Amino acid sequence: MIRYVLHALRAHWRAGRTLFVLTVLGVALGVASVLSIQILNGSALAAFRGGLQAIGGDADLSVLPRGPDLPDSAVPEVLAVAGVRAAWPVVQIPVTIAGEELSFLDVVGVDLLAPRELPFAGGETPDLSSALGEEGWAAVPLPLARRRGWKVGDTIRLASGSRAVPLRIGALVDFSRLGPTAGGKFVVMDVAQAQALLGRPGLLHHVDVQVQPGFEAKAVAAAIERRFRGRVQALAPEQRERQAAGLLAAFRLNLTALSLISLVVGAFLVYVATQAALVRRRGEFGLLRSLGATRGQVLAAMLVEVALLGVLGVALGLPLGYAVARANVAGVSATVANLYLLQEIDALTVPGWIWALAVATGIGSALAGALLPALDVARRDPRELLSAFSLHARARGAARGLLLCGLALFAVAGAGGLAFARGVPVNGFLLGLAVLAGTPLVTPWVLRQVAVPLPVRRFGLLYGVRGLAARLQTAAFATASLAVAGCMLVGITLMVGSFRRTIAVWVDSTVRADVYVTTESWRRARDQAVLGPEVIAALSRVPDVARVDRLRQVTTTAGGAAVNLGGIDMGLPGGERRFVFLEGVPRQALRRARQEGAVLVGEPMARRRGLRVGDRLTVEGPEGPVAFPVAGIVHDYSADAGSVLMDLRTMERAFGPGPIQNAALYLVPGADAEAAVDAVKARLPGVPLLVRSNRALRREIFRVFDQTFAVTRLLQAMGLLIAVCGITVTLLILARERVPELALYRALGATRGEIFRVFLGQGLGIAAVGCALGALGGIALALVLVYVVNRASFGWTIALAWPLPELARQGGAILLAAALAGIYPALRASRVPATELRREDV
Amino acid sequence: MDRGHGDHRDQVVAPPVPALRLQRVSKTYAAGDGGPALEVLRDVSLEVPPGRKIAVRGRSGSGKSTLLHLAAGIDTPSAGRVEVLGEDLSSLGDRARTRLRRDRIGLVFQFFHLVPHLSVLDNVLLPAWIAAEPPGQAEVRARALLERVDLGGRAGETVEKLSGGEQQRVALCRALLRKPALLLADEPTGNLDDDTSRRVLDLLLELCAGEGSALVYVTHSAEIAAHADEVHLLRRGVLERA
Repeated sequence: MIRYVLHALRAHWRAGRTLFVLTVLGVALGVASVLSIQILNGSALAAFRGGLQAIGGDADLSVLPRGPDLPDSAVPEVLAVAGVRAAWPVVQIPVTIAGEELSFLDVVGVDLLAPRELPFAGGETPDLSSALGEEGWAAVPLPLARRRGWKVGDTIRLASGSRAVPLRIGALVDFSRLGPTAGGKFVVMDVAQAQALLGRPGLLHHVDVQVQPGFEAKAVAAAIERRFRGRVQALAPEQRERQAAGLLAAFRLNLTALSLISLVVGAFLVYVATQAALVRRRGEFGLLRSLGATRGQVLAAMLVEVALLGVLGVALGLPLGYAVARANVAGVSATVANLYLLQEIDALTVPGWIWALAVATGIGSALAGALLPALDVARRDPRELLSAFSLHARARGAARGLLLCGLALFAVAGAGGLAFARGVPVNGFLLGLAVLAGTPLVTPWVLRQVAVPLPVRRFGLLYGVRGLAARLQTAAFATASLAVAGCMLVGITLMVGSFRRTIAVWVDSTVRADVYVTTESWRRARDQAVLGPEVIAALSRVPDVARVDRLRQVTTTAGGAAVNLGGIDMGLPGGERRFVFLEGVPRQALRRARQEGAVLVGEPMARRRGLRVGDRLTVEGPEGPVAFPVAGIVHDYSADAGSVLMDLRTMERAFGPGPIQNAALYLVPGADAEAAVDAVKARLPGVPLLVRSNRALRREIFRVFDQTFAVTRLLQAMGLLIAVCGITVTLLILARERVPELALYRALGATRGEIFRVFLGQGLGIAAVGCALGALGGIALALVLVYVVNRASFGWTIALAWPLPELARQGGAILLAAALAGIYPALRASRVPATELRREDV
Repeated sequence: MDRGHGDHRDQVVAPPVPALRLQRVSKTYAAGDGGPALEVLRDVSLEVPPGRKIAVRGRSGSGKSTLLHLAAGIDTPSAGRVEVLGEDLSSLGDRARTRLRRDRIGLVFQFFHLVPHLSVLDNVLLPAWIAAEPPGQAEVRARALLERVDLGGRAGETVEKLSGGEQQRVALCRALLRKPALLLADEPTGNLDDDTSRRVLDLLLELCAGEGSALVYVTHSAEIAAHADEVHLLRRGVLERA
């Protein structure tokens, strides 16, 4: 049989290459997307692991504060714990190269004379005792120095908050000697110098620990935590990696979902190509069956053929996937570093199992795409296969059953949504999946109901649409695929549009100051990116500035999870207008915040922890847990971790005096914000600040928002691909199936133009029904995304909005693509001559 | 249908020219493998006056269907001239030949060639849809034709439920719907049993007489051919009067 398969493959390659190419491309698309996403996902974690190796070396444990900071005094306390062989302090402060807003580096302050040795390039350790005496001595990784053109002896200017710090490169380090993924964008220097130069005197990021032989790291970790009465956590490198994986889980899930969509689209291409090829070869398989081939043999022959094409697709997809990963590493790296505050991806790591997964995915998707059409052909008897014409009677019969299944899934989604509204925990993704699965199931029945009763009185577009019901199996699949693509497109467009509208309303309320001042390193360094007091003082002296509103940020933990605390002046006149309250009385809440030390809790955090007004929120303070009464729950879209706002004085009482990270300037009435921005920059030359007017900040917010949801464009592209490929191939299949019928029309006097219009009608019919079902399914999906998934996963309330122009534009694009996709098959169909009317046909 | 065509059809009632004229028509097919060309028709001449019924007899492969395809303008001759109602088909482009076939010629096939996803009535109406005729008039005529072939009560049924003889009666109605001046039938009874064949043939001849259409039908059966006004024999591509 395999010889027959190989002969058949050669013969059909000569007969027509389009379907072969489509199958190979479909597989390659799936393989490339899965491979590239898995490489990027794996590399993000490998980068974090590499960072741990670079900084920690062979440390067994890292002692991290549960509260905002760890004092220097932690080191002797750790050393006093039984089983600790060595402990050394580490300061880690994200900075930027001065003047380059997004060029983040981490300054790592270590004890240069600690037991762990830095892997200096060339293997020669420089004179570290003299390095300690030289202010600004730093070692940089070899790859970073090469990329930047730095060499030993150069001076580099780094920005930490509003400080610009010059450092001299005293040595180069080669972290790759510690492990294949060890590396990172680090600048290594003496811990005391790092603290002094970067404004973190006496404060550590963590303490690295070596455990004595004979002691278990786990037991030593527990002993350390006990000694600090729970104010620190002592974690092994694997635990820290697991924490990072948890942080990245949602991000990685999103990327994986995207790759799965591409995989499904790839399998779809394989399906349509296989179906088209099998329609062409029905007679051949009928003959094989007549000659005694079993159904199993016919099925095996078809699947082996597709698997061989799948191998070609895999061969194309593997290098393509790697190239895609390389092309996207910068974007993913920036997201991982800036949004999740983890290490940037320096190099792609591709373990063997990722290649194996990609190969299995490729062959699997090829077989999955081909299985249904192959089973359909294998099921038919030889007489049916040898007949050139058969109506899809079985599909007609199945339409009702599929409809019932589809309606049942919609009912499940609806009931789940209602249950969620009543407080029952529901997995929103499963509800979304129910909608996505239900939409294609109702398609055959809807297509038939639309097509059959059409009042046809002319041989043209409507006649074509009605003909779809006669070939339901072929037509319904393309329609259903289009409906699913439309469903995803409409659902996500509605969700993103609603989110954007909600953000716009929120920004209108919260972004009220005229000018905002922050620092270049703030995006990654957060509470470590400090505005110096001299900067705050200078801001208040800028002409036209009526008031400077200060924001102090503290990062700590509550119940083991990170929490951002924001300290602001709650006494600002009319300050309650800066918040959109979900719960609580605005004026009363702000009065309580001022007078009673109460806090306003952002919605995501309130939902996650079930907090209501009147409850108390406990967070880790420098000396242990601190509890605050909750005075209000406010909308908060700044971070999915959620944040807590309190009065600056409350924060000072709980966490001690501390620096300011951001400032908002209110100008005198009539003053020009852009002029004030220029005035701030002029007054503070050389200070690495980011100064933006209200309008510029809003623009930036929406730029970041649109960039975050740029993925919708990918979905649109996938939708268009499905529309074009699905409709083109389906109409080509129909044209092939209907040669005798088309010849009859020609014999009865239909012109080529009229046949062309009939086929165009079929393309438009598929597109219209697919788009309509996609729109309805998409609305249902949007409701699930907005009211269930967003609330359950992120804790955000989003008001449903209808971005009609955007929806119309996307719907129009799909319809236009569908119409264009119908042109080629329609031309092919119109060229069928009446002489094709063979005696045994029709 | 536009007025021009309507006026033209009025003239068909008493056409001054033959419904069909073949003048020294030959048809040769080139062999795909580079071998000698296959000559299916050789120097065929035939004239069919209006209202005349002509049978062409021949064995399988004698070129009968090719003759009908040439007469219908579905295929073009390698040599010679085909005229339908005085129009030289070789002077017409594909579109004009298609229009002529649509408006002046009716076709009946051995295997009926009904569209399975259309009802009995819709199959009869198909030529009217293709010609974009006003639906009302066409439907009245289609129903009348179905009544004449005793299928009036089954207009709404799907054609798959009909017997072979019934399907061929539907095909006759479809061919005659637009009152063609020339009806071409390819083995119209070839797929039917003897009794049904006779009834369908009677109906075909009766309907043609009623509509005033000229009829050319090809058959392998001497008995079926004997009902025509003239019988011609087609042997190895050569047509001769029986």
